[in-house]
Amino acid sequence: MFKIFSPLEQFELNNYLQIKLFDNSILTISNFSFFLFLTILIIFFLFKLNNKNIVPNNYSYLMESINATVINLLPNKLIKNNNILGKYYPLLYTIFVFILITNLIGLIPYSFAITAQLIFVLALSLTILTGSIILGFNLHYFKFFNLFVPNNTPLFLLPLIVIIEFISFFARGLSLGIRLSANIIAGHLTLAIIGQLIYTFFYSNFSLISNIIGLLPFSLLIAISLLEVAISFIQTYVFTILTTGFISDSINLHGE
Amino acid sequence: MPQLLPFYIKHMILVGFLVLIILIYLISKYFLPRLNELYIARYKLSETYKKE
Repeated sequence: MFKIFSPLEQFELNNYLQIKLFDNSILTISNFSFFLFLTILIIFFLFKLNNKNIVPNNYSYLMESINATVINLLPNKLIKNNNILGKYYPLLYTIFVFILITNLIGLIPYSFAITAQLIFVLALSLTILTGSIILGFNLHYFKFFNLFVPNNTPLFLLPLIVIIEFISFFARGLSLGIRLSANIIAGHLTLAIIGQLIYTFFYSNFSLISNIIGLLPFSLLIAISLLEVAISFIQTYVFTILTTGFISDSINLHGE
Repeated sequence: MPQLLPFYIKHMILVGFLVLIILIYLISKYFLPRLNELYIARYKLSETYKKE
């Protein structure tokens, strides 16, 4: 008997282990934490395999090209100011590597997409927004509010523009998280739904015609899988470039 | 969906940020300086060969 599973089932959190430590604290190892620690392990081994080779091997090419990509993301003003680059470059590099590896782990069948968890990704993006606001206040004090007033604004439009800029500034923080999560959720849902369609074509009806028609969604599945790989790279790039934008906006208000 | 329960919301945020902090520490303290040393070593090597 063919059983239809919910396509949302892949995003559900499952407990692998729960140990009660004290009265109010429970140590939980879920699929979320398991795949997060797996991400750390993968990143560790990628760097470990790149073991100070003067002549680069394949893994060194990977890590060095990621390094070059993240450096190319930075605006020139940030690169010229070496102190600021040194301070925030590890953060940007970590975000890039972390999101890339978690996105790619999520594409493996029967694994768990960490970046599809809206709560975690939103928490991350809102933390980045809060951090950039704190950084701006720390560097410019109350001049930071200049960010909400575009250059050469007519005086009569100023109250309206300030409100719009204020809303758009916070909406950017929200959209940063939602964009990544929604893309990953949509891709995984499409894959699951098409997968079920293929299953019905190939296994529930054993006729030659249904098997031939079933090849069409099968080729679509392969195409969407390839698209998903591209999306995981593109979304990583977008997330990092917008984070860079936040930091760079806080450091140079309006590029002053 | 268990992740809608407050316990799992706390779990995800706590574990997620713990892992990110560990990664930022490892990358900024060990991995990136290593990569930087490698670039410096390559630069020095190319400089010495240029002189010869």
